[in-house]
Amino acid sequence: MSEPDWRIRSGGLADRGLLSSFDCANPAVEFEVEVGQFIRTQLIDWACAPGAAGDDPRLLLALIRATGELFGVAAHERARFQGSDGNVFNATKLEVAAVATPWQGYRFHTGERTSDVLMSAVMTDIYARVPPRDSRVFGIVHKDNHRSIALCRRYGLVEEMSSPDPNYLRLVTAHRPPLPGS
Amino acid sequence: MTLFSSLNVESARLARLGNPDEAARVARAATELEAGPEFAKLQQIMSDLSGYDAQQVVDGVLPEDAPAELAEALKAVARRTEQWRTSELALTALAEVIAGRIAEVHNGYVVLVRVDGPATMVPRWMAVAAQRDKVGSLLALVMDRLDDGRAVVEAVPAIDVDDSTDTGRFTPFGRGDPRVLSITEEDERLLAGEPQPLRILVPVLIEE
Repeated sequence: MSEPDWRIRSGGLADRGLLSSFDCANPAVEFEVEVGQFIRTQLIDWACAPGAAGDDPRLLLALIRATGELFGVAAHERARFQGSDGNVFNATKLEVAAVATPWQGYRFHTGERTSDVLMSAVMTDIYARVPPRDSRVFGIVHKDNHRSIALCRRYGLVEEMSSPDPNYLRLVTAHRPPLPGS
Repeated sequence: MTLFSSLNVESARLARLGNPDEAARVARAATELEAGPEFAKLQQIMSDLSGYDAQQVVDGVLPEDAPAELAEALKAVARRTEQWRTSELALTALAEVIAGRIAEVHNGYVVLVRVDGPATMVPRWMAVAAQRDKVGSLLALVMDRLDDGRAVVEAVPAIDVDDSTDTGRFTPFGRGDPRVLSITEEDERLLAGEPQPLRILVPVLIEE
């Protein structure tokens, strides 16, 4: 079986320069610009913050195998929702996932979409974490970011939690209802 | 319109607790502050507001159509006031201030997360009175100790004077905004139960 046209690797401090030129935004769309700015200027520090190591932050880079071009960036970490009466819900926060502008909507010759490669990488990475991550995954998406909302839904983030802000949706993976008496 | 510095309250507190010299010093500081350019700017902006809106500002609520310079003027006064407060060591021993951001809102209480991390529960009616009962709102508790077993606690609206960390605008990124992890009781019902297995559409190998 031949290798795919792409490869995924984890990122770190040495990738600051690589991320600094990542472009995923239409300059006319504010919420896209916000994503691009975060990736270029803050994501490395977010991923490598010493105080956050307990949350197991992960940075994933999607690259074109032949050229090393960066076509996608994603990040996630452990999170905990604190409910009333001390209830804790472990979860994973999808911090960001973005495909570079020239690669948006692109399919590799084997048929995979760039966005599917990136999101599958996120889910694979979450699944493989040791100690295990909770498979409850959530992400916060601008309400007008229809492409990202559709992508989230394709990967099972189909339930809508309360909104942290009127302009944003908080999407989370579905749950099986608790068994009676449990 | 005449505005007075909250340092006058501190001065009165000092006088009540038998510190007349310090009370006089803080009262002079209040007078100096009120005569300064920050107060003059704030008074000028407030004078252009309607009486209702001006009262709202005094109560800690910025009207939706308030001029942008109003928030800046309030921050400037707050910074100068805080400078005076920290220079008067006696004040820190008189009243402890717990300031933070509301992270959770429940039927009977809110959870206030301090800037340096620890959280505390506050009766919701106190947060309502300070008009700071929404997730993300900034609230301060001023605790005036009466004796070893008693204290008067006042909930007051707070503002963040650090422009570099808070523009008042929500961002989904980073770890600083408690709204990201704040949940309602309806969310709790949604999250109860077993999460569905993760969906992976393309086999991926991740290189470390």
